[in-house]
Amino acid sequence: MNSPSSATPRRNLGQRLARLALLLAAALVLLPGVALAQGEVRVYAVINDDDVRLLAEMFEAETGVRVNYLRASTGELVSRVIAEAGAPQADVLLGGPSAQHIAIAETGALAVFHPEGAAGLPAYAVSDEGYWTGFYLTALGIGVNLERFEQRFPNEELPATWDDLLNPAFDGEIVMTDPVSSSTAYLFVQAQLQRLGWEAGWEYLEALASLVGQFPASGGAPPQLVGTGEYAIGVAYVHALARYRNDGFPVSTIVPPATAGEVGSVSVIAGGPNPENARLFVEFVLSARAQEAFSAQSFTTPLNPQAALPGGANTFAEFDLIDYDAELAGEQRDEVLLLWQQVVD
Amino acid sequence: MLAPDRNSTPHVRLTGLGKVYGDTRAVTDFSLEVPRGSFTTLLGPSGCGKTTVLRMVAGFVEPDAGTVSIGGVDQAGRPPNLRGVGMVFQDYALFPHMSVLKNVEYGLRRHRVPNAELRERAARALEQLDLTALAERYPHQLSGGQQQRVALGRVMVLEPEVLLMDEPLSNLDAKLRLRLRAELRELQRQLGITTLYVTHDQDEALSLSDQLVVMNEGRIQQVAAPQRVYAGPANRFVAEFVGLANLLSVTVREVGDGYVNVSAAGQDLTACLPDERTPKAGETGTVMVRPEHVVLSEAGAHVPPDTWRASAVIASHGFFGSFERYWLRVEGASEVWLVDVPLVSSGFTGSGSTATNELKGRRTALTIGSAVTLSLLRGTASWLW
Amino acid sequence: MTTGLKRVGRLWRYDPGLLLAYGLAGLFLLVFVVWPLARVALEPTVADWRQVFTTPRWQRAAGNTALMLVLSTTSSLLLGTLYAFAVTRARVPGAQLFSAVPLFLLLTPPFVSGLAFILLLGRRGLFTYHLLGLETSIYGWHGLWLAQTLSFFPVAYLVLRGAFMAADTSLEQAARGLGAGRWQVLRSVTLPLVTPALLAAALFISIGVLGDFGNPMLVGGRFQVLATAVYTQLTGWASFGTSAALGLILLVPAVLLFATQQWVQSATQGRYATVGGRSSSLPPPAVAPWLHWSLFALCVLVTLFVVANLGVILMGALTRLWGVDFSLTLEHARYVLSHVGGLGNSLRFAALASVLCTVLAGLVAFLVKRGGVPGRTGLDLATLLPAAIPGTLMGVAFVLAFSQGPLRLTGTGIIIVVGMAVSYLPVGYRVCAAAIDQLRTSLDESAANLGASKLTAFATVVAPLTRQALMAAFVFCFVQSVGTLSTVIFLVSFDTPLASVTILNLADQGSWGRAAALAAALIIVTMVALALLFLITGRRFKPFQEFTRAGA
Repeated sequence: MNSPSSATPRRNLGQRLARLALLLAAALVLLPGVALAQGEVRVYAVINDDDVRLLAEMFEAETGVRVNYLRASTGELVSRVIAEAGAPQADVLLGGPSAQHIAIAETGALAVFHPEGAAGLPAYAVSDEGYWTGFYLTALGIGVNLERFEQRFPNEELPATWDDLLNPAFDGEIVMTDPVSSSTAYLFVQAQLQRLGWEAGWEYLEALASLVGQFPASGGAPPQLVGTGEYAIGVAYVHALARYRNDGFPVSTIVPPATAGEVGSVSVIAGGPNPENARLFVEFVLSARAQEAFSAQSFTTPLNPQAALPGGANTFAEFDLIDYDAELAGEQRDEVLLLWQQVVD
Repeated sequence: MLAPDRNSTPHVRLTGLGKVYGDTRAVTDFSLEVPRGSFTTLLGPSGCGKTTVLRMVAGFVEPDAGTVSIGGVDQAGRPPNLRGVGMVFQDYALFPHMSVLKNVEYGLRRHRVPNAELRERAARALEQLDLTALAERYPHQLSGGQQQRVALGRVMVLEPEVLLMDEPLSNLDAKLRLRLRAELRELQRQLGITTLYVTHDQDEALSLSDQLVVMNEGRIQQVAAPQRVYAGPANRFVAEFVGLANLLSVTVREVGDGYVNVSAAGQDLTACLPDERTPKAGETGTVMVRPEHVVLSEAGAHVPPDTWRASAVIASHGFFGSFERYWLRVEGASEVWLVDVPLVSSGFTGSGSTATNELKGRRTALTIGSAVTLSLLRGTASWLW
Repeated sequence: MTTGLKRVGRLWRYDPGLLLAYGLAGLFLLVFVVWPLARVALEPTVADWRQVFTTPRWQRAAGNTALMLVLSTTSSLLLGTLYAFAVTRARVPGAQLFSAVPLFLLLTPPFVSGLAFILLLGRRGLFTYHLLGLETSIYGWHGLWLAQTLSFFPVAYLVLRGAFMAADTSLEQAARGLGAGRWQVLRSVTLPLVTPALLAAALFISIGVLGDFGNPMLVGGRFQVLATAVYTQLTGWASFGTSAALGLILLVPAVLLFATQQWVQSATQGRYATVGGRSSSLPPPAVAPWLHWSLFALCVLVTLFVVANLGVILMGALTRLWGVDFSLTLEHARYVLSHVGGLGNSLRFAALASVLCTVLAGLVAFLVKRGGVPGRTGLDLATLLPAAIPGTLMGVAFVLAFSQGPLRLTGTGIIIVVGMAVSYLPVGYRVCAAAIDQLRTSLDESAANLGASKLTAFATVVAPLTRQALMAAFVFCFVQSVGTLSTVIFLVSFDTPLASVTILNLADQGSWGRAAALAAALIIVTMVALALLFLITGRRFKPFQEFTRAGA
């Protein structure tokens, strides 16, 4: 029953207050979210939340320029930078493989900037045109949840090479990302094709795919699923696996021979609201002190030769890298993904 | 400020109104003039289009054809809130979330009546309708009759020139209905407000109206004063819808001024001849007799000379309080006749018996299957067509 | 057309307020529903379409989507109906308590439920592994089926509970009296009475299943559906074209389902008159004892799951490292305290979106049902259209439509608020339209007759009398908006972080403790906000009837 007697004056007052509160809230939110453009840099960050926060705090302490960052997955931020071209919201894209930065540069969304910090870097870590600069290195590796592995495969050796993954015993226990949705996984697929050649490469991938239990969409998923013991074996970036190991998960990281690496890059977005601060921030990211701190926390390998290698991270020399042809990888993408979909499904 | 001939021009004039819903023609070629201050009733069975007409006047329904003019002003396209027409709805449509007072004040607020005047007018309206004590009540706390009064008061407080009422009494019990009917008529006379009233109840229509409009299937059947409609229905539908009718097939013998002499079942009979109907001698037609104009006698009893009579057999009968109704199979008539016999007067004229005895005697005599003689009261038959 | 123009002309002359409201509502729908959809529809090139139609992977994903549509809709409907039957008709012990349980699931953002689902039932799930020592895998269609059933059954429950309560028990008693067996009564009287509610629930659920991307992403394993593909194509390769094409394919079954439901609804109109009417005071006929206790067991099971679901989130929030180190810590709670901005944004934006959604839903419902304005069918369709758009496609459409040019809104809170409001507008609109349908036309006609313009009649009579529906629309939009992910994930920006997106990010990074802590905070804050709302308005709120009416 809707008793109309409930419309007492007290309630009316309550309602009025509620209405007032709503209006107030509306006013608060609808005030345009224009932060002071002065003294700020806006960063799209692909790297972990903790890591970008570390860099942000250091930068703020040094320069007094506030770092406003948005953390999301690589693909999402790449899409944003491309979609926003012409009216960009961010100044800097921090992290993500160089291949992705190259792809964005082709759309014209990146600014040309030759930072001083790029001087000492290897050629593969610097864009010739000045669109992007590398600031860390990581490589593909194999993560094993030791607890689950012991339990499921008491008689098996830990996989040490890519070929060891083809052990039929591992059926359903391997997790890797879907190359159709993740650039990390595409790197893996290309690495195998370039390592073994086209024919043998596809044979390898076909055999492996039949053993894989799950192809999650996000590159962050395999380390997580291996770390928590949902799967025994995962293919992922070594630094991501190392983070779980460091957090206390029973994870062992294996860097197999003939792997492929990623140059984590930073770039200035064309036409961003704070171009000066953007350049300042990129220089900072390339500095030895920033890279040392960053690597210590992220378990990546710093690219700046002056940066000391933190404990727990892999030295670059440890990686047995194939001579990865990024250009070829870009050209073959559609063809490979189409084939991949026929192999996997 | 007065329009010339303010009193002679109709207050509401409906011209050629038509409305079609999908495949059904709700209203067809409906023209009517409602004189200022009159009480005009639209009477018809449900679905005959009477409410649609009312809603076209109120502005809730846009006519497909024809015009509505109020006070000489064409209302085409004018929304309901700007027509200055008051309406009482069948379900009263009181606002359930507002008190009686708020309901009454609602229209005044919409017309931006200043606060002091608003309070005064609302209070006056409540008092007039004896609602003052209920001012703070909510509609669901009121009886049906009280709700009806609020619905009326809510409209009257705005002092509209035209009042529309859509079966306002149909949701009330019989006794209350009778009382409110009288109150309504009294109020309307006092205020002289032009009223257009919709009902399917012939008693209501007959007792309230100055002008009665009988409708069927979207068309006007007859427009006249109630008495005329009752005595001289324009056609079979009106005859049977307004009151009950017994029909008699006849042959015209002679047409006079306002009457017609006919021959029915070999006997002579004089019937009233309503206007505009001119039967010709020799043609066949139909005559109507109301049930209360038939006299029943025992079979073979004496019947005054020059009275039309017939033999009949009682098919059924029923008790209606103030009268008793008989269904008769009449010799020579294809349809069953109805005869109403008042109970207090000497309705049953059995030969030579007193009223008391008649009642007793009839109970035994007039059972189903009894043979009787019926005769018509002089001058009560009406020529139909 | 001419009559339409004539009517507009009349409005202009006699009721400019209504014309303004009509114009604003129409403009809003044009800009924020029609334009983004048109923009996204133009995005895929011929090559994109060819690729989408010829790739076996997408063909399989389409098949999988169809399979889940049938499986999950059926099972959610069954579970929701049984549960509703248990608490309303079978009157199991503790029915009062059980009746509130599914509402907690509605308060939990879908993505968070998925997370909790893995924490509980995953390969290393608290329940399956740590308690039972099972080595089962939930990844795949069967796990997805279970997860979606549990995610969507509260919707069926919500609609059906109201229907059971409204269906006249005297009809069932009468059927018993006429000699029908218990089962016959159920089949021949009770079920037909709630058929419209079943249809409506089926529609809500099937469109939810079509658009669901959280569950398939987390527990689908190798089992791909179209909704995840829309997301991954965009986030993985920035393929706006493929993503849009896949999303537009999803639009086809959604629109078909929608049209079917509308058609069935109008074809059977009036046959179920008692639904939504006054219920009888007679108690429903008793059910067989075996059924009574089976239903009780079902209620207990569901309740245990809900408690575990919320418990596991709380536990995850308070323990150091899920699955490894279960020692208690406040570390994650402290993280939440340093991220109150996102939490505040989620609440504020959701509240604003709900106001916008409710006002719009009520206004458009009034315009369509009682406004007498031209172009009502278009208005009706445009308002219902977002119901058929999967959240992710909506997000993509918004990014495409509002990143450039004069309508550039990306980066502002406005676009998030609008995105949320548009997503839940159809449900709010249906609820309001159903409530207005129930309102006697004589009420607003009498308001008009007493001198109120249409807009005034809406404000003074129709809106107050349908406040339960408006309130239902508001609460529904609020609860859904607070936790929504798919639509807003592409819309958040520097100054407009949202808790739900942060939770996804944290989970993606493997910071499960923080994700759980933030999720728990979000759920708690939502509950507190709702409690405050009810305290302030002081009205007894009856969402069930409103949702039932929306279906019937």
